[in-house]
Amino acid sequence: MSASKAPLLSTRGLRKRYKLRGGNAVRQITAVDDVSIQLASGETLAVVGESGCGKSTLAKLITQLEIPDEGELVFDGRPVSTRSRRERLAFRRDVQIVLQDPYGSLTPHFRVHTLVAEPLRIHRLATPSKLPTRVAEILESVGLAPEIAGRFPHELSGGQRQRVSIARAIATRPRLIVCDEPVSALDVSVRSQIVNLLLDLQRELGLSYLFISHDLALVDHIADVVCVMYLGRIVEQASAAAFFAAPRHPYSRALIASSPVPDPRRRHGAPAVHGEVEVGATTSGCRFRNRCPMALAKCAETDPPLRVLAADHLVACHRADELGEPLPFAEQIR
Amino acid sequence: MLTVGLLMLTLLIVFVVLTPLLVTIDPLGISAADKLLPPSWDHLLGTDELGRDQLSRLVVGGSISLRIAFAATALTAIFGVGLGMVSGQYPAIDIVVSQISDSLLIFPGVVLAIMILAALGPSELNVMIAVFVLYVPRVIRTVRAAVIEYRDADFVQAARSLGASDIRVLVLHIFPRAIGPTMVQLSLGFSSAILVEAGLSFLGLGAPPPAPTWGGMVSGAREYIRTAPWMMIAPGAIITYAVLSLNLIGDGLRDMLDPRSKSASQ
Amino acid sequence: MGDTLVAEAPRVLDVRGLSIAFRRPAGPIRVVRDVDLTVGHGEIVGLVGESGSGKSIFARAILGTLPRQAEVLTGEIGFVGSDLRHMPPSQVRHLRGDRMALVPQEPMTSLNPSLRIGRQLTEVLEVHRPEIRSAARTERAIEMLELVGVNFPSERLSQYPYQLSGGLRQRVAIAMALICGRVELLIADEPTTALDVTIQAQILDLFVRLQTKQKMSVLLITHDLGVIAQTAQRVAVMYAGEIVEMAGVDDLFAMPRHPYTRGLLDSLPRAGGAARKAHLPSIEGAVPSPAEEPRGCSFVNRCAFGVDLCRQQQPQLESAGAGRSVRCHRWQELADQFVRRDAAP
Repeated sequence: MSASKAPLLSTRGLRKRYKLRGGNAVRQITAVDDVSIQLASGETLAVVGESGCGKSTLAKLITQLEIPDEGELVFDGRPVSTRSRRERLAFRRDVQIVLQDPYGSLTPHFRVHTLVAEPLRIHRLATPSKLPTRVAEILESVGLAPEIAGRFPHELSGGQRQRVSIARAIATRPRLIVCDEPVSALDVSVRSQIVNLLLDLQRELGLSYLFISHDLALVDHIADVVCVMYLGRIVEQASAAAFFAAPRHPYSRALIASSPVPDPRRRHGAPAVHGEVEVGATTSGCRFRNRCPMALAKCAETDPPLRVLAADHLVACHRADELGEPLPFAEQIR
Repeated sequence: MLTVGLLMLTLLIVFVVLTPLLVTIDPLGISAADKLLPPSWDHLLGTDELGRDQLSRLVVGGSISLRIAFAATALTAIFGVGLGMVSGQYPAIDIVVSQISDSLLIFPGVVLAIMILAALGPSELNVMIAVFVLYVPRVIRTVRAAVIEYRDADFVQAARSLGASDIRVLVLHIFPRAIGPTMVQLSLGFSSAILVEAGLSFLGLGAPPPAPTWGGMVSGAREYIRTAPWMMIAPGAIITYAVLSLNLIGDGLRDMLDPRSKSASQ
Repeated sequence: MGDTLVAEAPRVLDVRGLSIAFRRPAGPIRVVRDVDLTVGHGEIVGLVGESGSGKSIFARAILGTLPRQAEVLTGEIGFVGSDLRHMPPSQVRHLRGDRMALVPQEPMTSLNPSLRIGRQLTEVLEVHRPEIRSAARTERAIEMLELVGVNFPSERLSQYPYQLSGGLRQRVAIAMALICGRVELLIADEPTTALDVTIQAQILDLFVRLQTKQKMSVLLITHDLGVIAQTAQRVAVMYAGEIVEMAGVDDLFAMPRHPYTRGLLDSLPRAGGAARKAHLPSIEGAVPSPAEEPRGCSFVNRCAFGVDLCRQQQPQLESAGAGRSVRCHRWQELADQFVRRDAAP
């Protein structure tokens, strides 16, 4: 969004389809549909949405764990798909991922030392003699004592494990880290430690984050740009300040209204939206219309395009202009 | 466990290699006067129905049986693990490999072995090949199942995103997860190699008689189990011992490579 | 104790001094220590704790479904006047699913994947209400699905769990818990953790409606303070097997007394521009292993206010004003230091 800086990462019209087998029929699901995002160097782009919205698929497309069916991924000014084998390896060095589950994302039969040394070995970033010192340095930079290096993942706490995942990700000195719900599996008292670590690393190393989360309060705390996805589409995209001051899409508002606010004086009344995300249910028109409290006949006919509502604020809703000024998020949540 | 297993196996090999230097009775020497003798100082493990010394037969037979079992198991391990990993990872190869290995699994084991030996003729090498063909599909399936189970696991995704190659992921990240079940299959294969060889000897398709083998000795002893139990006990015990040592090595390897299973069993 | 808010109401659940241990070769490890907890009629009580706090084991002890290696050491589990701990297991089994029921976290695994929804619902009735005839059972199943907000209830009966979304499966699990019609206590163990936020809001709303309309009592176990704030009337905070604080929900969130509760609430990110990307207050360290039972306060190693006394002597749960109690040596001194949270800008 921040037009002033040249984007580190941008995607144009990214699309990924999967075959879904349900009973006898094979349906095609577009998990990520025409997604264009831009992420400036040193900034955090948060992708928000519920299961089935395509946010994890987007993470895989951006880290090249999956190949998009259509669209283009541009990193550091050059399209990624055309790169040579060596350049692809360089891309892997520049773009890392931290996954949600600290239990599943570390190879269980590797010791911490091996885990953290692996990226250094793959990319030949340290000679064997320097490896132990380098590993110790990296562990220290994520707040782990060097003794941890001899342990297996199952001997660590959830927070320690997530630190090891982060250590592996920063070992190659990347420029972008995709964080797929990095704290949602952690204990509440450990979450803020990991959030602080991610913030520190961003400042020290100039990292960009693509931060996938469903926790809006957290997103409001760390993001520069917010993207809301619903069934593969971006329905709203704005700077965090603009988004949280006045979310424009009915779905964004429903998400905010559904967030369990840790304040008993601000109890929600009736649920903001009814029904559930139905993957593949709508084939025409707006995908949210089945659950939308303000859907019109028009919403069933034409798919609302993502349009510019204000500077730094894109919305895909026919009626976005008619929505009254909402309560700023900060006042709803605290 | 690994050390105990290795120690037991070493002892067995030493026994099979060194005993012929101490016991010099001809394993093939027939003597009607000495038939079905119980253990004594002259014949430490007694004699069989033809008066042949059981101990020397056991030792000589052991070298044949172990050779067949080890060679067949090693072949099975190499091809089974290799093909299993490749077919778990690459669907195009999987179609071919799985079709062939599954169709081999349809046959009852011994029938398949008989078919192979009938085609190739009885010899030590062909017994090896028969056992290999019999067991390699099971190892392929085991390894393939593990690869399929873990190829989309988070830790594999994480390794890939670090830039790890397919080979690195398969060998370092996934295969160690499969070692436990693979070792079970291999130690089963090892013991079956001895038993299949026995069955084939019994049918006249094994190592050609009068060469002694453990399996042949067990099957030969069946008729005398009441009158001369020692004939069955010695080769039976040594087969059990060999299989146990291999099982221990298998378990030990699994514990070494998967620290969690160890702490769970403690 | 901390239940004067509902002192007059009959207690559906009345747990006193409950300690639970895991048997280990090195000796028993106490994972729940001396817990008192009551749930009044028509009340939602929240039990907050992190992983390893003992909250789930506590729930299983009430239901009489402790894992084999765990055992109740001391205490009483009062359920509508009778002591479950000294009741024969067969009798507890009759209560389970009939007068008290569990809503589990993962409805994908708690429903039998190979049975149709209708069969699973009617089975509960077959066990506990054999007098109801088969046709009436199906009718009742449809009724229950309607009550918990499942659309097309009669069609759902012939579906399998995998054909339903996570939210619908959780509704079915709640319907199963309620179907006998005599449930007095619903124990919900992280009932919305696996669900999306919009669905979570719907399920929490369902709990609140069950409580207000049907006077259901609910013990809501969760790690999510937001969920507690949205639904519970009273809250017990559990840390390392002990209840460290208990209070009415408004009091707890406005003015936590225990440093742990305080730390948890402070560590939640607050929406807001100015503080964006600033460090969040955090509780350093991690939850201690239950194997090392502390001599002093179990929180002392992570506590910003720990003094020698805290290291040497275990604090007791003491009354801290109307309807609340706290397990901290220094809560009175600290009360002056802790600003009211709602006073902050």
